[in-house]
Amino acid sequence: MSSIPKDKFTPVPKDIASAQKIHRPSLSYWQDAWRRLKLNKVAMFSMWFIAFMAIVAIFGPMLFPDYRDNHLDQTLLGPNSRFWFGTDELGRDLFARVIRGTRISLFIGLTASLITTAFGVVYGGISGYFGGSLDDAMMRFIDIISTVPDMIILILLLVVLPQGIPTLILAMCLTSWSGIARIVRGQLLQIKEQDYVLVARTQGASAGRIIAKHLIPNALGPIIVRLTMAVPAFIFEEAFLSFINLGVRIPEASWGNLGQSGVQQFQQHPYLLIFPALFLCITTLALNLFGDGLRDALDPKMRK
Amino acid sequence: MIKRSLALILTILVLATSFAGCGIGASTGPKGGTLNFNLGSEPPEMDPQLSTDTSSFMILNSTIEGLVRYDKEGKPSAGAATKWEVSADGKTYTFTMRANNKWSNGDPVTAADFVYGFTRALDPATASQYAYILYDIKNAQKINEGTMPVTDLGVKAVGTDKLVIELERPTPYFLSIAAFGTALPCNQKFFEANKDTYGAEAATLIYNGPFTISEWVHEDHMVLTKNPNYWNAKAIALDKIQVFMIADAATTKIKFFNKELDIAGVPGVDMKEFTDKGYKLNDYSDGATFYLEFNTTDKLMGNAKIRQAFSYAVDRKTYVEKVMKDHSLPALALVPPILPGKKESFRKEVGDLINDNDPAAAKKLLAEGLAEAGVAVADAKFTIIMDDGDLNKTRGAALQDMWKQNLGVNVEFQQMPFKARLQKMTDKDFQIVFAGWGPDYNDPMTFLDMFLTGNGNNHTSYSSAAYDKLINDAKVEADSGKRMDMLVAAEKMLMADMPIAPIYFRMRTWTAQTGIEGVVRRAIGGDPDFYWTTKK
Amino acid sequence: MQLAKYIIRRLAISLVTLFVVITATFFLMNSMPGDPFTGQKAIPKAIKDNLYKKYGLDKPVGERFVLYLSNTVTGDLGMSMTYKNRKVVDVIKQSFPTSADLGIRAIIFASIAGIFLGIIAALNHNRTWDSVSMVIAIIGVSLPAFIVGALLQWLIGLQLNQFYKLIVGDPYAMLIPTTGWDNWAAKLVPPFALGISALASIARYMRTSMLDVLNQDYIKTAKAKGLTKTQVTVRHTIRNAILPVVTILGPMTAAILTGSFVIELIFAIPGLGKFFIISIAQNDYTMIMGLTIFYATFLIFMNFVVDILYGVIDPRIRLAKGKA
Repeated sequence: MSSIPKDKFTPVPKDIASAQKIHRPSLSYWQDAWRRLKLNKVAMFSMWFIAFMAIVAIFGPMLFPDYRDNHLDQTLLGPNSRFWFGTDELGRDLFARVIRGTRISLFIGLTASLITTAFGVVYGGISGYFGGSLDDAMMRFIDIISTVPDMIILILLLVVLPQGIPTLILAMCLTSWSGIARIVRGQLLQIKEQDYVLVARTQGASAGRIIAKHLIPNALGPIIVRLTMAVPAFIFEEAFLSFINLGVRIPEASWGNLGQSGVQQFQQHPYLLIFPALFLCITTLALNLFGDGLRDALDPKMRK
Repeated sequence: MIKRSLALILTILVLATSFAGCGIGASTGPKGGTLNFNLGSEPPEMDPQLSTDTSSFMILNSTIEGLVRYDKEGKPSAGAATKWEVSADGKTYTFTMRANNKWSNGDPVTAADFVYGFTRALDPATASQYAYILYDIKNAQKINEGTMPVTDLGVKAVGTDKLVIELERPTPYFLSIAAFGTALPCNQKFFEANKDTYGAEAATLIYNGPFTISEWVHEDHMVLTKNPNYWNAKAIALDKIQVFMIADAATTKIKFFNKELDIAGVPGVDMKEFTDKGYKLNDYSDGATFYLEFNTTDKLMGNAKIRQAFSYAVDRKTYVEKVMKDHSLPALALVPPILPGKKESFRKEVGDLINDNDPAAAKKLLAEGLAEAGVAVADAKFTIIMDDGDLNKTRGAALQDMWKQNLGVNVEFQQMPFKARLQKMTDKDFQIVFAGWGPDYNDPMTFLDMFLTGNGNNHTSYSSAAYDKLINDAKVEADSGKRMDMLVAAEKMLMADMPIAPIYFRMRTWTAQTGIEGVVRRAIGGDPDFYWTTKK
Repeated sequence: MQLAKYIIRRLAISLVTLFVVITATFFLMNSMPGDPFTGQKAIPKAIKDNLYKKYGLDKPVGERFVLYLSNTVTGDLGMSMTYKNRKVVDVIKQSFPTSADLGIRAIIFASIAGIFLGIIAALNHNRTWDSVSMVIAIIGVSLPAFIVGALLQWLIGLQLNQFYKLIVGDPYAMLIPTTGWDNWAAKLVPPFALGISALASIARYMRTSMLDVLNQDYIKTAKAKGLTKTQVTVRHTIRNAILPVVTILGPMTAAILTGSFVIELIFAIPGLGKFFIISIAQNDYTMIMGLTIFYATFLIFMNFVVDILYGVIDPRIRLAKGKA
């Protein structure tokens, strides 16, 4: 190989500034998650659909307030220009009721999810962070709680406390907070042992800084996913309770009790089931798919 | 393309079915002698002395025979007893037992079996819930309360073929008590051999009725087979009754349309579907009246005008026709039409006692009542409690809307399990309850004595000395005409004071597959009764 | 030896849990309104006293509790108070096998379909088949069981059978019976209706787990050493990814076996599910307690089995140290 004369080379000047330059924009965890979520068309579509349903839930009942008035001369009409979804056995406007049900069901689902999540995070957080015998005791308590049949607690509360949506939400929360607490605890136990936490600790980071900078952000992903998934689960639980007559009380409407009364009559009046079931089905589908997308997007392991 | 593959699949299935004995593609055929019937639930208690529910009584009526049984017209007729004599004072019944009448184990059915049945029902150790049905028998109540030995019961066997029953007081309806489930016979030998499981399985019960239980899979089905040893076996046309225990109404309907069931109840909302499919609907009254019960110890409901306002604000005709959509009748008094008066129906003789749907009067009464009670309109809060159930969701919403339209009040609606509702009523923790009552025996008294001061079923706490006197006098009045007049006066008083507001008299509707004849439905006694049923 | 120690420790904890659950349920239950004998018609006090005496309800709650515990230890769960001459143990013995049969069929269906859909989704991550499989998996949980059951009952029980009757010209012929549990054809539809909600969870778990494994170094190694795609997928990915799915099968089986109330009602299956609801509605004290004990024991046992299984399959998990 022939040698090349030295003067053919010009040295590149040392430019510290440009060497440090980051060409691609720096992305925080959340920005990166958002970027990945945006790539997931199904999840994005679901998200916009949920946003739309939220708007329906908030403003719909104001536009169509006539959900409880009976029209006994116009019972069981099919969909028509006055009653878009038809009327039920009391001549109530099914459209207004489905819209009202949207509000009630989403409200129940969201509130119950937020409450259980908040409680579960605190409980699981304490248990997971402190560990040791406190953790053992708190986990045993959860084991016991989840072994008592839910129905006893539900029926007891629904019968003893004043009837209404707050009682319903309370009863559902009391029987289902343990799952999220377990998840949060599991997450914390796992994250606590990670090398970056060890590094932070050896570098002298305070417990507060570790919790704020490492534990919470890293556990937040699964918590948010769980929150999203809990909404349809609670909507379903209310529907099941409606099926055994413990759901929301008349004249209030929820997707659950609309679907339940629809099931009784759909052989002759299919629209009574189809409309509420469609709202329920598509919304829970969207919530589930969005939750799945969110999980993918928030999972650091999915980063490429 | 889709059509073709569908056809292919069906061909395969049809072919497959020719190999399969049962399961896919099986056909049961019409099976002439077997009746397929849905009881709706497992009969929870088949020990006759302990039974309290209609499903158990329905099966018992077909399998165990008492002294008398109800005939087609609902009159007590000869059963295990061929005839009976009543003493002049109406306090002693002497039954003559049927000769050559056998239990399914071959033992003869004797007077001693009845003595043992009555004694067992009243023995405090048996703890029979319906023992009080037999309290008209001499010393029965004391024995049941544990203050007298069981041997003192006024039921004695004289030889094997005579049963003498002494009563505490003349009881004109005693034969309908003798036809009741609690009064069925009990074979002592068999019972003692199966003490712990008596009535729990097909083999641990003994039969003397038109059918025997030949198969019993709990919670699933029962097979009743014609009893060849039954004294009137030649009158029984059915060979078998296949009894299903399907609780879900929609599933039952589908099973009926698939011809897997021969009989179906038809709720109001389904009537059109059944008639559209060509089924003929039959109605019968089960004798139940449904009404609003007001808590008279409540500050608001203690006021008669407020109670009347809530009653007048209900449009019963619309409620029955448009909301219930079945063949029930609007009730404008308490006693249902099936109960007898002096000559014909009590209801027909007395007529309606309250007004239906009078919003103007209702509004006026409410305003006056609230003023009397010293409660401002804005502070008046009302709550109605109904039992669980889908139908009640609709019906409660309808009442709620009527009160809103006609009275301008928002009534809170609560639905709760039956036991919780009764607890609230016992605790006097309610304002309005929607409830019903069915007759125990064939007399208006079965409804009217409920509202005596302190009666265990008088949850309204209604208390009227005049009313108590009328009812108590009627109970000992020997002259039936005068007695009826007292009952009429009592009902009028009740409807004026209005501790309860009747809403409707229930009618039940049912249908059967073509070829089924002679099904008997009734309000008092085992229902339905397939004694006279034939199936082509 | 470690395993033996572990089992003994778990057993001790389970017994304590069971005791607390029994205590909690017993006192909760006794605070429910009404009693087992509340009926439409009021019963005279003397009769109520007789009933209370017969069932031991006349004693103070504390004494009843002690008595109940001592009976339970000897395996006597008492007589039902609604089905007055059936033992609680007999009711469970007679009804549970049916529920178990239904539940196991449902779990098998859910596992096979769920794992299959999860694999398809993961192997096509972020592509069309990913979305399609997940929508199929999730659509089953987008309607409550009572609607799915009623729709299936109508579609198969009524429409399909009516169509079949027309075709074969026999009004009594049934293509697929949809009530009861006494022949194999009747056992086709209900497990499907019961299993679809578990299917969604399993599919999701499988998918996440697969994606997780696909990112592991040993998969890269396997690819690097020249294994075919099929070999990598079958031998390394699926085998490792199935592990986490096993963990959810335990609680899920317990939930399915006892939560089949709606499906059992709609398809008229004589299982245990309905007793969980009606025993509470009827204040059938002995039945409530018996079912609670049965359910709790079953749940504890299932969790235990899963933990052991997990330890056996995955050596990285050391049981003796294990925090359950």
